[in-house]
Amino acid sequence: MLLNLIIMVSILLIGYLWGKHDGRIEGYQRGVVHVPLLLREQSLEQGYCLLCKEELENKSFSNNEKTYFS
Amino acid sequence: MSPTIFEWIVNIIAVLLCAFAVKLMDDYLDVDLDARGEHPNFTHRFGKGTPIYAMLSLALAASSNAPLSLPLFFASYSIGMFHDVKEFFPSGLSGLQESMLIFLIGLLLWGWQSMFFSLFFILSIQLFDDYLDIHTDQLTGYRNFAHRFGKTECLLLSLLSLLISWWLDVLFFFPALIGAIIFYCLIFFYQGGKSSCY
Repeated sequence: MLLNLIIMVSILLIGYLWGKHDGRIEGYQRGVVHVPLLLREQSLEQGYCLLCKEELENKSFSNNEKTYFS
Repeated sequence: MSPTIFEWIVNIIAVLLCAFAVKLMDDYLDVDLDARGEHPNFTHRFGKGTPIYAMLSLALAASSNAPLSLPLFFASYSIGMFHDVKEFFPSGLSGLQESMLIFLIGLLLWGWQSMFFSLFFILSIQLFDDYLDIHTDQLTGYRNFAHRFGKTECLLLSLLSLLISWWLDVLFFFPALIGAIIFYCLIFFYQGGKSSCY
């Protein structure tokens, strides 16, 4: 009975550590994909482009970006 | 009073006295750290007499039940050193070396069952204490086990250690657990929330 409990808690702990480890890797990969888009979105909202460092007034927008700001 | 109940009460008292001895020693060593974090500390009350009262308390614990209280004290000492494994102590040994040496001496004197029971029991309490104190220790800049391993890992490891200690010594487990809980409650009411006892 007690030994079974010890085994169960050990499995729970190993499972938790495994899940946390995998979750951290997956979260990092998602972050790598998501953060540049998020930063660009925020910079465009503030009136400049993060990639070319130009003010929005001086830049000729593509059709998609014009739609985004209208 | 039946002999069994009397034995239980004596064992609980032995654990309480041993815990008090360790608490006093811990407070004496951590007086600066506790002052920084504005934690209550027994050294403010007992002053220079703190280690003397700790010794007296340990002597009383050993007189009540030496095979229970002394391995608990050895284990507390060993685990306490684990926070400073690389630091060198007045003995000339590092924290890790001193910790291993004290544990080996405990093994020779009290046998593997008592020492491993005590080690896992104290480890469980230390981990649970670190889990509770994660925010207060963070304020003083002290990295406890909960910071190093994570909060949930710390709690699960504490539970696992407690179960292993129960499995290792069924006879001494419950008096030790009841003694530890009573001591925690007393410290909680006396010091208003600061729970560190081992």
